[in-house]
Amino acid sequence: MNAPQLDMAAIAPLAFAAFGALFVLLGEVWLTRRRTNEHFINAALSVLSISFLGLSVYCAGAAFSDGTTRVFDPANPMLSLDRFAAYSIALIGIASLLICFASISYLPQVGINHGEYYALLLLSTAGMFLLVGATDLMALFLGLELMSIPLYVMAGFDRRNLRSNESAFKYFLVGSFASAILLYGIALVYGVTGSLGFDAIRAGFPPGNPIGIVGLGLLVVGFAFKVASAPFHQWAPDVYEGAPTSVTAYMAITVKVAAFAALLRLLTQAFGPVTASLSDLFWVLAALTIVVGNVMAVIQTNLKRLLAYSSIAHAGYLLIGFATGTVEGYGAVLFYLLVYVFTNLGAFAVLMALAQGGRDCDTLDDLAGLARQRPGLAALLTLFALSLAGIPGTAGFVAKFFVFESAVASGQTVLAIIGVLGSVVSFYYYLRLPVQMYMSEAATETPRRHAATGELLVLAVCAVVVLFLGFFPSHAPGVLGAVRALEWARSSVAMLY
Amino acid sequence: MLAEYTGAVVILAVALVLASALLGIHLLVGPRRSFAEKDEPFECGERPIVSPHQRFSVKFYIVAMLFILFDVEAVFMYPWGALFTELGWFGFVEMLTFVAVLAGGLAYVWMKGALEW
Repeated sequence: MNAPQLDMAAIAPLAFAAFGALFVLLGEVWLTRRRTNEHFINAALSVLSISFLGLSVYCAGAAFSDGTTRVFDPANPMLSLDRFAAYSIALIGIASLLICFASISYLPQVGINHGEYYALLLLSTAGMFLLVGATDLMALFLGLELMSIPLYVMAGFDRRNLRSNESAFKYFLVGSFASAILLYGIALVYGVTGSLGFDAIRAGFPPGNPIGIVGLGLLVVGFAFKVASAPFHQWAPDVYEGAPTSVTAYMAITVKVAAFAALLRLLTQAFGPVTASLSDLFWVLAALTIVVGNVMAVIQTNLKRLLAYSSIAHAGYLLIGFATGTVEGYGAVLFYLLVYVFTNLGAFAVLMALAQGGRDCDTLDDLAGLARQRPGLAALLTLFALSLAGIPGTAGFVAKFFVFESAVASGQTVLAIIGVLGSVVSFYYYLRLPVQMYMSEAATETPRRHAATGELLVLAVCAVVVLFLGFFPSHAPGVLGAVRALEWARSSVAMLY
Repeated sequence: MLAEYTGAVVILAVALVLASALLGIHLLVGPRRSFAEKDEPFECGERPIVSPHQRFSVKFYIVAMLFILFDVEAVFMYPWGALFTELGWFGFVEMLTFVAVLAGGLAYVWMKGALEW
């Protein structure tokens, strides 16, 4: 057998993240034997993870501007680094990197300062990189598992906390269930087409074959579990509530980006001809998810549960783009994911900066009087809440606008109206945050800590991106003219066709 | 198209018939005698001599988990060994990478003290 011609540049981001995990794991034991200062070890490991993730993001950025498609093994294409994968990898990498920055001070505050956190985070990120680059169902499943298994451990990272254990166990059970459904879908698709590669499936998919349709449906249901879309969303609030806030942020943000990007590639590359018939399925999923997410969020008093239902609602808006089935719709989805990452990360970073003395800041009452004690944090959380709701001038408005626009353009006007009505409902619960911070006072005043450098950095980046994209989504003046986020998203999707 | 699945349906039917036949025959012709020891939930028919609820070291779990890890490593080595000459240097380098990653894991558990009894 001849050695296959492998293109190592195609797996560079993945390799940096995976080997970074190994280095962090060994670095942790090496450092704990030599140093006793826990904060130093934590910061050193975080910086190590950030540099590896930085290398991954750099590789993805280079591949994105290069624009060529690199296939890892051209004789057996399972993994490729193209413009779409590079866009998603850069997005996931930046989100993970910022979460590492914010975790430096968050982990000691809640007393879960263990170095394995960063190794698990890097491994999970490597799985997401594999997931978004996969052009074969086997690679896709491998990526999905590599993404999920470290996440189960991370959800239970606060292992002395019962809620955290509950979160990990629930996530593990539901996650395994979702994986099994997905695997069954893969098996059925393999049964009718006789292959696992996306291109071969597209060539050999018999239209109208009931077994093929069931297989495709099971694949979509598996992904619907992962992105917490109604009616497969019940796990999300419990899991998000129990996990440590930094892990919740990681689960809510990066998993959603990775799973939506992988679903987008799967639908366009493997099932291109049948997506029109899938439109109705996504229509129902989107409408149901928007209604359930927004209505349930209204009655929440726990901040993490509120953000969990908010992220379910956002999954609904994203599914509108899938229901359109057009290039514009998918481009809007990719742009929405970019905005979603920075807006949600900002909101979670404020919550992380408010955690202290082994306690998470996770109820609405914890926010009372924040505007007087920490006016900066209160103002930032207000900005992110407004962006999540979609007020003009913030990135959240622009992202929603493009999704609804693509829905109307493709004739899904009713769905767009449901989305807009859902957004109107969402104002009620997003505005409860500023109301609580600015208009009520805490019964017992506890002094709050100052935000650490890492958290301030994350907050600054998120706030700048949210405001910048809110004003200049496609064209920016002056030296920033090179930033054309909307164009990047659209060209990434167009490349899949 | 569905005819391709006939084999699977036949196997399913045979499995169902066989399982119900075996259990059914057992129920029909098997003797049923009940006595105190047999109704004990533990040790089918034997009188238990100690309490079944015993404490044992959690270290067994760690050893069992590590065993699975390195057992799987060995499983992956068999196909490589069977195709050693065919895979050549490419296979060798691939396997070295695989073992190096697992060696990293071994170094981690060793330095963490998980192997100390």
